[in-house]
Amino acid sequence: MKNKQKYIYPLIAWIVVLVIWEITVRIFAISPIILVPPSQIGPVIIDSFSVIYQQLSFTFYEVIIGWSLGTLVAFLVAVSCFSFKSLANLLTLAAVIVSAVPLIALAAILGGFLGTGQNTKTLLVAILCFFPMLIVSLSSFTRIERSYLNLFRTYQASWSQRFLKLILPQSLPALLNTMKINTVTALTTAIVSEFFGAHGGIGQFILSRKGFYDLPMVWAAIFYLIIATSIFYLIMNMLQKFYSHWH
Amino acid sequence: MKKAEPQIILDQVGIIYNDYKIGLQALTDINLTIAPGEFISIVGPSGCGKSTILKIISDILDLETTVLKGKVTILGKTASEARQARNVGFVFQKPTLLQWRTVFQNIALPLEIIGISKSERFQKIENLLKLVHLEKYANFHPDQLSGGMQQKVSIARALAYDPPILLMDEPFAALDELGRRQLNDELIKIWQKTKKTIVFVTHSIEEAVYLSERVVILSKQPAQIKKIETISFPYPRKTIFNDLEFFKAITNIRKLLENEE
Repeated sequence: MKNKQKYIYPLIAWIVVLVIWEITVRIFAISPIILVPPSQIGPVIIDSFSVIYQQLSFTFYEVIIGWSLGTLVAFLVAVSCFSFKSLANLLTLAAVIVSAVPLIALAAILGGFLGTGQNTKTLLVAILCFFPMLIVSLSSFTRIERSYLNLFRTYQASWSQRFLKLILPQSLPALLNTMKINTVTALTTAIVSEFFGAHGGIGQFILSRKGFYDLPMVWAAIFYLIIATSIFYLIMNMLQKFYSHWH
Repeated sequence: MKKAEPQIILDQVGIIYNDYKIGLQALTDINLTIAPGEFISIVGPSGCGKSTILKIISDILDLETTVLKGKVTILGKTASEARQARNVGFVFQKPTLLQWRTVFQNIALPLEIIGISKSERFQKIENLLKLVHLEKYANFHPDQLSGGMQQKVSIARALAYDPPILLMDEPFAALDELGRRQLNDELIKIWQKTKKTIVFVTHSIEEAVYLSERVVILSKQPAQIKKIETISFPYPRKTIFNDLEFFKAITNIRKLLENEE
């Protein structure tokens, strides 16, 4: 019963928004260049699936490879140097400083010497996922309570035993959370960097369609983008829930 | 009673801070010998370094901030060798259980690390659960247990690899009066069954007198051993609360400590 309500209310809210949108456009006779009514977007959504799917998969290649790469490399860097306290502190400081640079602005420059190809975007996504993951990994690996470390010392545990049985399980909730938030970061990065010039992808697609005032198509692209992002996010969310349940 | 060879020997042991409190002495001239199977408690003003003595014996002292003086001998070895041979079990003030593991899996932890086979592990853990009366809670997670039960799991875990020496750092400090009494009685039973040497740090004089055969009284910093009281009441000591001598012993120790404040 409660579960049903959880889905029914948001659904009703969405329908109400769409109805108000439609009525507003008709009553005030708003030009389709400014705002397209949902009744015009609907059919385009259905017709354009294969076109948009092609563009989305282009972008998601950048997102998924970049996200995985950034996450994995950050994790490995953190694992290999968190035992060295001063190195870990230095890295954290460096990561915080670099994170303060609006990296998305670098997309324009990066395109200049790396080209506007897919790999440039993948790299940018990787870089933007790398720093939050590095900061969170380092801080959670080094923030284990002293008494737990002492406990493992009395067991004469090896480095890998201490890492696998204590530090990693203790840090996993924070790591999974960062990975989840990074999914959104990755997507934003990919799309915005496509705005600065690309050979394909949903960002470039939206920009060019907007140029032709094909607004129903832009809305359709946004619609599929929301769905694709939600799926990616939900997969990470499920993984996190599954883990904390088993945990 | 036959006097056995001492198991733990602290010879002129002292601690000097090496961090921002540089040069400050925490412990000085500690001479203490502990026989196998003995139950000994350490009391003293708060912050005097009671727990530090346990850290010295178990070789988990933070050597970045402290310098150790004197000689520590455990079962004829240095403290570091004794730790490497896993001769010492430690029960911390907080239960320090791994929240994602069940009671059973928590007790299994040291056995997994040592590399004991699954079947042998199972047998040992069953016995330990019986020893601490937690058979029914094997599949519970720590956050589903009371503080006292969590601390019993922690004791069982420390006993899992069968170290001859058990160090306990104010293990029952966070419990209420009744829970603490109950666990004190259980601890005496565990001690009598397992014949471990127990070094017990507490800030409760009553608890120290109730539990142990000898009570070490430390002075304030730089802490020295002020006196070692022998408590000769026979075990079990459940009826001790009717005994005036018990309260006299407590008062004696309290007076010694009050002079320190």
